[in-house]
Amino acid sequence: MSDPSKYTTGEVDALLHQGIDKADIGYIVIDKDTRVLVWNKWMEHASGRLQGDALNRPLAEIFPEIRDSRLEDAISNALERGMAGLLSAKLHRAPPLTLRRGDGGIARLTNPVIILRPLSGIETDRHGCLIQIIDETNSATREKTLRAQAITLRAQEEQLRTLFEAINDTVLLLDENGHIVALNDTACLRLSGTKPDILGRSFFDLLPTPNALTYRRYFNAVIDSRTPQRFEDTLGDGTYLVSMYPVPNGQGRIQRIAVLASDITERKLFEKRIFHLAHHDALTGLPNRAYLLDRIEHAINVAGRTRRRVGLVFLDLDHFKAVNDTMGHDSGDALLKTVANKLTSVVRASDTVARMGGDEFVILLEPAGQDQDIARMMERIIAALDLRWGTGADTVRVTTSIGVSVFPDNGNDARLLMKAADTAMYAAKSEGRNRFQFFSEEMTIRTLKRLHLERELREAVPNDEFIVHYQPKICFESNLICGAEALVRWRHPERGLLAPSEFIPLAEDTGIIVEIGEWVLERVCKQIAEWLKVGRAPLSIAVNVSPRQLFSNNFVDFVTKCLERYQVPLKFLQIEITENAIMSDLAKATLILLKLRHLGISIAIDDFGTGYSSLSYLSRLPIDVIKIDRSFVAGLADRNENLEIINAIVSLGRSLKMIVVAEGIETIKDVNVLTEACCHLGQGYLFAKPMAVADLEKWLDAKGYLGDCWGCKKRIDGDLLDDQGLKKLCR
Amino acid sequence: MITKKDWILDEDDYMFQWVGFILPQRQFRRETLTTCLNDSRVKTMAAVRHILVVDDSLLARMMLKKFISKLRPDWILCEAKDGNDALEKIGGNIVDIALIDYNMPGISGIELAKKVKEQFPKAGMALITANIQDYIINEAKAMGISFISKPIEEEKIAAFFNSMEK
Amino acid sequence: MNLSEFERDAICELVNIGIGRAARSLGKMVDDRVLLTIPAIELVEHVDVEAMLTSQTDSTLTAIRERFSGAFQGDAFLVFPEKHSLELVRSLLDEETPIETLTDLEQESLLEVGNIVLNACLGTFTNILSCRLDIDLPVLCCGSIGNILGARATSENTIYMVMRIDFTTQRKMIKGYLVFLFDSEFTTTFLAQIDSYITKNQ
Repeated sequence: MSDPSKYTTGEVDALLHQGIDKADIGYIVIDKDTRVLVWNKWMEHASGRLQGDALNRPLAEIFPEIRDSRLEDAISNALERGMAGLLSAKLHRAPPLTLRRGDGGIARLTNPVIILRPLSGIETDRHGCLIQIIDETNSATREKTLRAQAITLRAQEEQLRTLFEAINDTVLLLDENGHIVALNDTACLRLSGTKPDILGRSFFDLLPTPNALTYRRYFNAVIDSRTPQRFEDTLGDGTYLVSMYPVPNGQGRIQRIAVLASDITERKLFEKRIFHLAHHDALTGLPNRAYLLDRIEHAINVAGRTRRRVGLVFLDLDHFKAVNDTMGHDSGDALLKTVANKLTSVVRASDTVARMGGDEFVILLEPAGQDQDIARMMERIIAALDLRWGTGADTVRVTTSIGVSVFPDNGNDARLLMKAADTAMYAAKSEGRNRFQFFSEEMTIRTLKRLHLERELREAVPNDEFIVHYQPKICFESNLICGAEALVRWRHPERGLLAPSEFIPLAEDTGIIVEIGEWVLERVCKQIAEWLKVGRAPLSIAVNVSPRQLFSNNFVDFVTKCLERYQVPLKFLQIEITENAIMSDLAKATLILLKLRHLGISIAIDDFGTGYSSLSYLSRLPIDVIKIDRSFVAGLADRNENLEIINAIVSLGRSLKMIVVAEGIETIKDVNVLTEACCHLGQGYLFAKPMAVADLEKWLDAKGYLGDCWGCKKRIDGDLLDDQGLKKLCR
Repeated sequence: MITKKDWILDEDDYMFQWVGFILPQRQFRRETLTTCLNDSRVKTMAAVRHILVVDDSLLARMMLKKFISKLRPDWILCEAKDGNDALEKIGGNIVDIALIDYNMPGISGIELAKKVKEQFPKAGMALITANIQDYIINEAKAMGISFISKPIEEEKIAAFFNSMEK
Repeated sequence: MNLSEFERDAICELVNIGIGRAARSLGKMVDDRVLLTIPAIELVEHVDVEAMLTSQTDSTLTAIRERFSGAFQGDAFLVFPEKHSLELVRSLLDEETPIETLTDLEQESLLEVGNIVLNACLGTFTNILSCRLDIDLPVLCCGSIGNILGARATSENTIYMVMRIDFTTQRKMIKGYLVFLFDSEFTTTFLAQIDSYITKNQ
């Protein structure tokens, strides 16, 4: 008996067919010749081709694009070999099956999966194939998005992890009980353990007790205040800057605390070193100018409140340059260090010794007592710094000039006090060095005057305020006039005619001397040219050249051009250089003088006997004339002490075939003595004062004994050193 | 390709060389060869070719042997189981035609073909292989070698032989 | 049971031809040359299958398995070390982003690769041996070689015929191998087919 509730095979088949028809995937069944046997509603919907239109037609007719495609291969595999097949849209540039709608449009079936199943028929040659088409478009899109998100998240996580590990600082993540949740390699290193060992342990247990207490305190503060905390901690030899941050869990609760510890040990040391470098002099280790200014300001502030005095002492070594030049910079540096040590040992602990640069030192006396207390200390310093520097013949005596200013007497800020002390120091120097000088108001006045004069002096050349006076030179043998020395005078608009001593030192200091010198040289050349032009027998004129001018870059060029411009024969020009100028840079001076001498210009050495020139140098220098300093000539007739010197100089000059000139001759007695000593020429008030051109011309005319001195002329004009002689000099 | 005229009239010594290649198989002696050459049967030997078969598969060699003996019964066959074996065997002998497998232990079929070609520039060759990737087909083409895909089938071999004789 | 030299040789040749087709299909898909080794054919006991197939370097594998039945019965595997299967998918799909695990989409494309390669191989067998095989849809399995083979019901003492051939794509160095495992009772059936093939061609 059949069960009436049980469906018949026919009923089941009907349901099955309906089921296939209503399935949510595409169902196609084809026979062995690929003719369509089943075409469900999904296919109708997707392709727009109705069942009636599709049935019994070969698949390739419905879908022409499957010819020679993977799908066709798969179909033939299924039909001929019984192989199931699977086609994924992903593997193909174009979908394996384009579903054409009835209206000609193309269904958006971007991601179909096609599954083929061979079907065997009841008769072996009546087999077929099931083609199922599943649209994966939606899931593919969703999956793509999810994957993109996952990739982004993973990338972010990776970046953070890399950062976490890459950081050279200690990084830890603690839970609310202080147990370690995460840490980086640096943290492992610091805590001297491996990650598995440390993870999960209490952070505070891993620290030495005192440090643990500090960390615990800040940890609690972070949890309580929910704000980051920052502190410095010393662990072993290291100093760490520790930051603790609350990490909210997204619901506002603090579940994690991030701990960052940067090793700032080196930075601390570095800061210390930088501070020292910035505030101290590298050579002596003393505070430098910047630091000193701080200290002065501070001292003034304190002293202002406590009504105390502060002393500021400026020191400058006398003749330091000589040490540097003759013994070398190493020796100079050593001297500066010695001075620094001596100063530090002389002053009180509360005083500050600083080096301003070069050979300048400053002492801040804090507090300073009364003037006499300061004076006593200055005397001690001067005594301490009265040194013999160097060994043997090279020994130089080093002394110090000191200027002192006092707060509040000389100023109430650092700048004024420094200036005052500086001024006082210059005063001490001009007073003759190796002494100290308190600042006084006059010094300021003097300084102001000096500044004023400088300003005027700068204007003097452009304003044509200089004139040249000439003082003739007389030959003792022939009584003939053998030339003149050109001497500059300043016709000051208010103060009248000024002697060189009143402005030349300032001109030297400020460098204006070069300009003045050039003007004089040019004026002299012009004068000689004028004399030649009017037919007057010209004199040989000696022009004084300052060291600055001599060593200026283009001096030789300038002289050459000047002579050329006015067409002055070389023999009429003589250059006078002081002995000290030559000795200040002997090598350079020799070179320049050789060049001049080579041109044919004669050279006189001025103020001879005052410096400390070495005779061996003298013999090698291209010098034609020695001018004995006036200090040896003055009072010559009354005292014999200088006579020896004059005799020596004259015989030296004569033996070196130089002409010897005596300056400052005032009495006939002087002339007698000098003639006796066989000095060649003389110059002085006895014969004539320095005169303006007009006066000179009148004087010459009146005297009437203008003429060539053959004896001297021979020396000056004729037997100039020949080439061989020059070569000898050069060597 | 060496013609009968070449080797009978001009190159006696050379002739003996390839005779040595035959001897082990046919048990000829030198005297009988001379007789043989003067024999009218020599005329039929005009179609004789020396064919080299190299394949590591015994089955493949057997199949080839079968087809060759069926298609060209007069040809003289030399078989080798791999490249080195083949090189040893062809030393001092002649190769007119070579059928070479690609995938073999030791040197590959292409390399072997190159070496055969050096010795016998006129030899007709076919790479006969299961590996049908394009790059191998192209390599064979570039060398002027025919390409026969496995499985070995009589028709494929026949077609190759026919193409050789055109 | 042992394989005769002749049987081994014939199976080798058969596999060679099958693999040749499979390699062509694979090579075309990844646009690369596929370098092949000489096949290894063994009759082994179940316990030895894993040992034969385990290579030391690759612990995690991805395999595409196809069940075949009909004239003979068994499973065909296309096996890649997991890294290489991902690399393969990347080169197939032109993916720029690195894939670390297979999602459905990638699985699907890998399945099609397996389908193509294994069908090329199995199809060759049926052609040459003139028989019919029903080949089921490809299935993806992952894990150790044990996990992969474990998908088959096995009994301890059965003898399997294992055919393995290794390949490498030349540029991207994707390595993998193919394995055919015949159900034990069908090993004999297969060998009978081979023997008749040999006889036919002798």
